[in-house]
Amino acid sequence: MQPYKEDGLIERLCDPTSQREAFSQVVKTYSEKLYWQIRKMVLDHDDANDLLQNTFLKAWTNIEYFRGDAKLSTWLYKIAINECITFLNKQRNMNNISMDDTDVFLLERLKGDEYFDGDAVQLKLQKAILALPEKQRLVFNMKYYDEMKYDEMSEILGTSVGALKASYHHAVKKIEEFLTKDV
Amino acid sequence: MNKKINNLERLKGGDPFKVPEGYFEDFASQMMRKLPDKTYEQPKRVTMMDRVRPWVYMAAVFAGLGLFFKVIVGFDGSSDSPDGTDFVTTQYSVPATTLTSYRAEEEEDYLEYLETQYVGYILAEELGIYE
Repeated sequence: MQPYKEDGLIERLCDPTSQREAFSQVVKTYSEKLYWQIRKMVLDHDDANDLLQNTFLKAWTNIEYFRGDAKLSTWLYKIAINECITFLNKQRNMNNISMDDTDVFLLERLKGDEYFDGDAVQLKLQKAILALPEKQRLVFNMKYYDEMKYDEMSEILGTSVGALKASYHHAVKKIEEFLTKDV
Repeated sequence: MNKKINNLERLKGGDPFKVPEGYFEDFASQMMRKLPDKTYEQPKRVTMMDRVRPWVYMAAVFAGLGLFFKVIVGFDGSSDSPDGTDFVTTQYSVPATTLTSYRAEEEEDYLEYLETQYVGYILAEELGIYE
């Protein structure tokens, strides 16, 4: 679904007189997709909402630096993912958790989130996803939930398609193993 | 049972993540209200003076160098110092009269040499040495 021509939109974004109105179009088009990507990483709605706002705020302040080399959506995804990683690192520091440990604090938040109504199995799935390394988790979320193409993922994450396929395959295997064992 | 739980595709169907009602509809307008206004700096006007300034500076440097050689070094051979005590001037300038007399002496020697040669040649011819 692309209700506008991206070239025309980028031109309008570069023009100070039409920039604000064009950016409103960008927010309308990408807010939902970006929200779900962020939400699947941080799980909590309030955190996802804050990070989505930060993403658009950063995009707005740096719009002059967007040169149109990549797609606008790719650029926005990159900003969103950076925001997520920065947020998660801060949270890990606050909770004294190393990079290799499971982000259990996210699971605790999820349990208390009023916008999550998953059953025990869904909660277990989230726990399995949280047990993955950060990059594998990103790849899994993009493919499993967003059904994103590997080419686009490759542009966003700066990783080869082959490596992404392998990463997704490993992630699925680990999650399936986690789901079959009783915890 | 385990097989059913294991199937990731089955879990995909029911998304347990929810958002407040009307969240995405209101998000864009709320976001746009939060965006700060941008201030655009007017591009600085480049005047003619800004363009020629480097050339003016360069010309000034050359003029300064020229003046330095003329006044201090006395490049044209004339000295402003009446008593001729300027060390640099005396080192580099040679009076024109000295040069002229040196050339005259040289010419005189050359003529003498030619004359000697010529006289020797005539004498040898008269004595019949070359016959």
